[in-house]
Order: sequence, then structure tokens, then C-alpha cells
Amino acid sequence: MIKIGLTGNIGSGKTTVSKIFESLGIPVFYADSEAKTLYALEEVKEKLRFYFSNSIFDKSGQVDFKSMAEIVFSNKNKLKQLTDILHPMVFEEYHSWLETNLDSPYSIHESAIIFEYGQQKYFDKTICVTSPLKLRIERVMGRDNISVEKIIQRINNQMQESEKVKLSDFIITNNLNSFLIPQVLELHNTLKK
Amino acid sequence: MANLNSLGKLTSGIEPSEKRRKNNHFVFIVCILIAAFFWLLIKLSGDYSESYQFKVTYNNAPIEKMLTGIIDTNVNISIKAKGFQMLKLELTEDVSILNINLDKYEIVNSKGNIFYINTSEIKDEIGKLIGISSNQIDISVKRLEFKLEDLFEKEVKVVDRIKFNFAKQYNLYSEITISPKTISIFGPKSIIDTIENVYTENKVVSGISSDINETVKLANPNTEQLQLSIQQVNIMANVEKFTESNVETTIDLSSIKNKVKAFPNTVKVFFTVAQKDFSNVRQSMFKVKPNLNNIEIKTASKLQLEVVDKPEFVSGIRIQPSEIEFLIIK
Repeated sequence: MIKIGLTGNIGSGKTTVSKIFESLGIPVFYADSEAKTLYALEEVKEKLRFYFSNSIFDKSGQVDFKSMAEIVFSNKNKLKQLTDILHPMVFEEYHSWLETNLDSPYSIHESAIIFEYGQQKYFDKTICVTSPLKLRIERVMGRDNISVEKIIQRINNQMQESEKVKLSDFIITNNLNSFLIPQVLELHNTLKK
Repeated sequence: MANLNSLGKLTSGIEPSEKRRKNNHFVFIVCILIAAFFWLLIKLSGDYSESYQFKVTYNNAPIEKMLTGIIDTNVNISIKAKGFQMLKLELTEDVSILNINLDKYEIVNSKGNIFYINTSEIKDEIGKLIGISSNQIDISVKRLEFKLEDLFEKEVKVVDRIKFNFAKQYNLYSEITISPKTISIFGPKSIIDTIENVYTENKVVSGISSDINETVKLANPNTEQLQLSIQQVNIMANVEKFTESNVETTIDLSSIKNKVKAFPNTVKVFFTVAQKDFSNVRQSMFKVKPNLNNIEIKTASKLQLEVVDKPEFVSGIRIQPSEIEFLIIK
């Protein structure tokens, strides 16, 4: 089975593209969602207490994602520390997940940080979803209800989209002039061969 | 010393003749003034005639009619009077305008909407106006003509021309109401037939953060020929503090006959709501559907979305994304 890494910067439309692949019967592993489930594990909480302060936990002892985001998106070192805590565990889950989807011609691993942390080596091919900056900002504002300044802060923590394009095998353009489905269908036909 | 004395004598010797000459001048001037005074008295007691041009205006038209035009706009009036009266007239009276009170005279219909009054009737009035007897007055024309038209009544809508600038986050919570909504206008048929609305004055009200209750004047579109039943109206509206919020809702694809899968299958509906209604907003109150007008589902690439159900108390609806891609599932 071909292992595909699907990435793109914040607000580019990765999840929409993943959902289209899913509707074509392709299994998709959502790394960010998977990582969020790991925060509930005690061993993850322990490491977070070590590297971060107790302020990232709410009264019930659960990770407060808003406080966490405030810290990691304004400090690249903290972001790397967080990724280093979660990354091995996410990939452990991914490999287990792959075992259950071997009958598919290919599978997709969706993550925003494939190239930032050199994860492309785990995949046979990579797809990058691109979108104009203005559109990305508008989407995130609508989706996450956060200010433009904070969105730009998060964008600045990610690798430049042009760099990601250079490193990717396939590009899906998600702008107002392009349709996603025909691009996904074309890629699907290529990958399933 | 001797020289000084002789000089003193010389000086006192000149003085009497100089005084006498001055006294003669004074007497002469007094005589001239007395003569001029008597001459003036003689002249002013004489009879003089003078012609004046008066601009004609009217007031107090009959209650059921309106003055719509003055045909004889000026009239020449000759006055024969003693010089004293003429002088008084020139010095004290403003004789340039002849304002005729139509209530006092017989108004005669000449033809159609043209009416007149006989100038013989107004001589007394002019005499009183300028303080002379009517037999000292001669008017150049026998009649003064003007136009009177029947007054008609029409009910017209009041339209406000007020610009409301609200304080941040504040906006209208109710429709703007004008009280009264309609007024009566009175005027010649030819004028009122052209009028459908009466507007308020232009006004800008800024920084509004509470209910609106403004009294505004009405603008008379033709002050000469049109009367309004009232001169001002009240503008009222409820004002509330608003906030923007959103709900995420699944797109309702039930109107599509084929089985389809939408990307994305949920959208965010952004809206503006008064803070007092905020707690009443429920996600289930919103329904978003694709607009299938002129759409052939098998060939379409994207579907435009529209909000088909929403609470009445929300406004400023915006959907994100506003269009979706879809796959027909076989």
C-alpha cells in the first residue's frame, strides 16, 4: 500500500481534500485529531507539566487547548517541544492504523507539519494543498474565531507554502477559481494504479 | 513804555468797526433764514401731485381658495396733496408696497381662475395708509387682476430624510415609525397632483445608543402654494446593542434527488443579533440548503448555498463557505 502524506498550511483546506479522498473509499489518518486524543493520557500530561507550566491545564486537570495554543504559536521552541512529545506517539498510532487498512491501494496521513519536522521520509509520496494567503486567513477567521494577528502568528510558525510546494510530489490548488474534486479525482486515478 | 501805551490806544481804536461788521453778517444770515422759512411755508401750503409705483401684494385670500398668481404686479397711483402732506409722505411712509387685504373687498370673477377687485374700493385703504383723503388719490387702472384657484386636499405619506449614525455595536431593533404616517396637504389641484410624499427636513443624528424619539420639521415643497396640515412629525424606533455570532450547521441536501456528498458538509452561519436575544439563538433554528435554481445537478461543479430558515431576530446573515463542491454517490 502506498503511504501518502497530505499537508498544507493553516486554512489551506487539507481536511476538505481529505474528506473527498475519504468519500472515494481511501482511509485517512488525521494526525492533528489523533494528537488531541493523546492529551488525555497521563504520560503526556506528565511531560507537558515538565516542559510547560500548570497554567495549560484547566480546573478539571485537562489540557486547555486555548492556553496551549497561546504558548506554542508564539514560541517556536515550545512548539518543537510539544511536537517532540506527541510525534512519536502519533506515529505509533499511525503504524497501528496502517495495519488495519492494508487492503486499500493507498492511504493518506493528514498533518500540517510533515515538512517542518522531516516526516516526509515516512511516506512514499506527499501532497500539498495550497491556497492564497488572504483566503486562508478568511477561512481560519471564520472557522476558529481568532484575530488576524494570531492567524499570521501561526502562519509564521509554519514553513513557507512555496517551500512546501517544492518538496511535494503533488499539488492541489484550493482557490476560488479551481475545483477541488476534479483535482482529487485525477490524483486518485493516478495513485490507485 | 510810551510806545506800548500808544500801541494800546491804536488797538482799541480798531475794535468797534470789526464788531460792527460781524453783527451785520449775523443779522443778514438771520434775515435770509427767516425769508427761506416763510418761502418754504408758502411753498408747502401749495398743492402738488406726484405719481408713485406700488408693488401689489395680497393677503387673506378666501378660505376655500389660494392665490396662485398676480397679474397686475405693479400699479401707478397719483397723489394730489399739500406740500406738507407730500413731505410727510416722502419722509415717513414706505410707499413702495401696496398690500391688499382681500378679506375687505368684493372679489369678482373675471374669467376662469382670474379674479379682480375694483381699484375704487381700495382708495380709502390707500388714503389711510398714507394719511390723506381718498379723493386725493387717482389709480391708473380700474381693476387689479390676480389668479385664485380652488384649494384641494390630499393625503400623502411622510418620508423621513434623517440619517442615523449609531454608537459602536448599536443598531435599530425595530422599524422606524413616523407619527403620523400621513398628513393632509392643501393647494391647487395642479400642484397637489404632482406630490406623492412629503419629506422631513434633512437631519443627521449621531452617536445613538438609546431608543430614538425625534421631532422633526416637515419640508414644504412649495411654500407659496401649498399648506401642510401639520408642520412636524415624530420619528421613533427601538435601539439595541448588537453582537455578531455564528452557528455551525449541516447542509440540508434533501432537496437533491441524487445521493450526494458535500465538501464540506457543514457551514458556519454568521449573523448579527441583539444582545437581549442572544440567549434565544439555537443552532436548530438555521437551515442551509443549496440553491438549485437553474442548476443541472449532474453537470454542476459547485452549489451555491442559501439560508432558508433563520430566527426573525437575527440579521446580517453570511455563510462560510458560501458554496460547496459535491460528489454524486452511485
